[in-house]
Amino acid sequence: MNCEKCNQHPATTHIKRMAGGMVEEFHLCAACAKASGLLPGSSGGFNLADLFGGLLGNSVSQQPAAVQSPRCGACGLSLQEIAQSGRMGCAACYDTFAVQIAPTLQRVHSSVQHTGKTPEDGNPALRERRERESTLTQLREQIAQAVQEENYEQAAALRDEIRALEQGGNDDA
Amino acid sequence: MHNQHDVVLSTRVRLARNLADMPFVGRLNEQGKRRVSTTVRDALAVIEDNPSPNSFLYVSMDEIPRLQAASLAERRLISAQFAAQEPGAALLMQADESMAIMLCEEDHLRMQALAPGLALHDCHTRADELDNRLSSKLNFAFSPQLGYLTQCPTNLGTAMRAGVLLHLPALAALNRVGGYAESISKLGLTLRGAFGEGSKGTAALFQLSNQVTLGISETQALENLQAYALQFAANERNARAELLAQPEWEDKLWRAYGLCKYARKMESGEALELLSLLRMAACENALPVDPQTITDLMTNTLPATLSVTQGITNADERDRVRAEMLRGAL
Repeated sequence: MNCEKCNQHPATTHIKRMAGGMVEEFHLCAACAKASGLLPGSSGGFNLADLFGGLLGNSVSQQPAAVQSPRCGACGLSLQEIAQSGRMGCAACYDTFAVQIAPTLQRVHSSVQHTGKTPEDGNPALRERRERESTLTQLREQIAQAVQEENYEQAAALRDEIRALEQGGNDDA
Repeated sequence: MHNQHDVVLSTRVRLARNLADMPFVGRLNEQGKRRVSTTVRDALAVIEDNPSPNSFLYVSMDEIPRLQAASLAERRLISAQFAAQEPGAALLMQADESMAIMLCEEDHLRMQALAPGLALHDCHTRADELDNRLSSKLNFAFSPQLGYLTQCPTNLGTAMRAGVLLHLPALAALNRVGGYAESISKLGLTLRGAFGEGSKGTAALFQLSNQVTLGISETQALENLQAYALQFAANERNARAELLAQPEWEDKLWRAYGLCKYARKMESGEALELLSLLRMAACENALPVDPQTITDLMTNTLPATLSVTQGITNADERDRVRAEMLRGAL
């Protein structure tokens, strides 16, 4: 078995780590293990981005070619370039490459579901805006449905409701 | 002791954020970086409608002298990487140096709150409030599943790095620091030498921080850190008592004191190692020195900070002034 980071030297260091209640395993060559900062008592040459890139590169090379080819529509970065640098190009990269990076994320963090703060937590105005937008989306769907069913009375009522909500939004702005 | 000052030198909580509609820093040219930096500066100016003496000051990193940038890194206000002064990168900093925002470091914003001693809750509250205020003006990249989106996926989720700077001279002397590494990583934390990412525990200074950011809330991560910092503090105190009971250590500490009190020239590395010993002795009342004076000297005698405050650029002269500062303080 070759080192999962550089894929060039034999993996001689096998590290198990508990994080978030899950056991993670890393199989690295001596040099990469030393650089990873994962060794007990180690403090040296520790670059998480490199480690992520290495793990991702290895994981990508095992996936079918069709999955490997796309580029991010927003910034143009390819998966190979991300694996090389260990860094994403933009926020949209996380959507574009969601499937490909998921296994590596799971290894690094032991979870792929955020449980902390959201922008709305500290920002009631933001929450209201989002809730209003989601209500508006629902009402617009209902209005389309009502029109399709030729239920014009209900459609008119929905239209008034939408207007009222939209005006409420404008007052805030 | 208040805030665990004898073992915990300082606390820092850092939140990474990125503007949703701009590529990450690695994909920005200088002009793009300047746009990000000024966008954040302008948003903060709108929020801070009542300028106070402690308002944030904005400086372009490529416009400040190199030594001053290095000194900011020595004082842990910016990262070593940020001190390289990439064009387009900028710093927003409060005059009392308790909060700073690095703009276009690894992420668009890295806002951090600092405090002496163990003060995780205080630092997190201040960083969190700044984040709330900024997010009312700026649209930060966020996904309900992955949390705050960061350039490096290892920071996803809370995008929070909380860290405490620990002074562990006795545990280090007794070779016990490494023994904690395994149990630390079980809690998603990491311990490493505080001077530079590649360093060992120079002067027995170690950085304990959270490493896992996705799937663990800010509160949980801070609780884990707090618990560990307190445990380190208790264990270090026991180790100090053990060490100071040994006659050879009493001799070693007085020798360190003698060198600091009478030397005429001293290099930075030597000074830091000696001050580390003096600080332990001061905290344990084993030498007639004030702990805070020693703690301040540990930062103020570092090369760039000393050069900036004393106006010296010559290394030889710096070593002479450093010895003078030590003599003056003792």
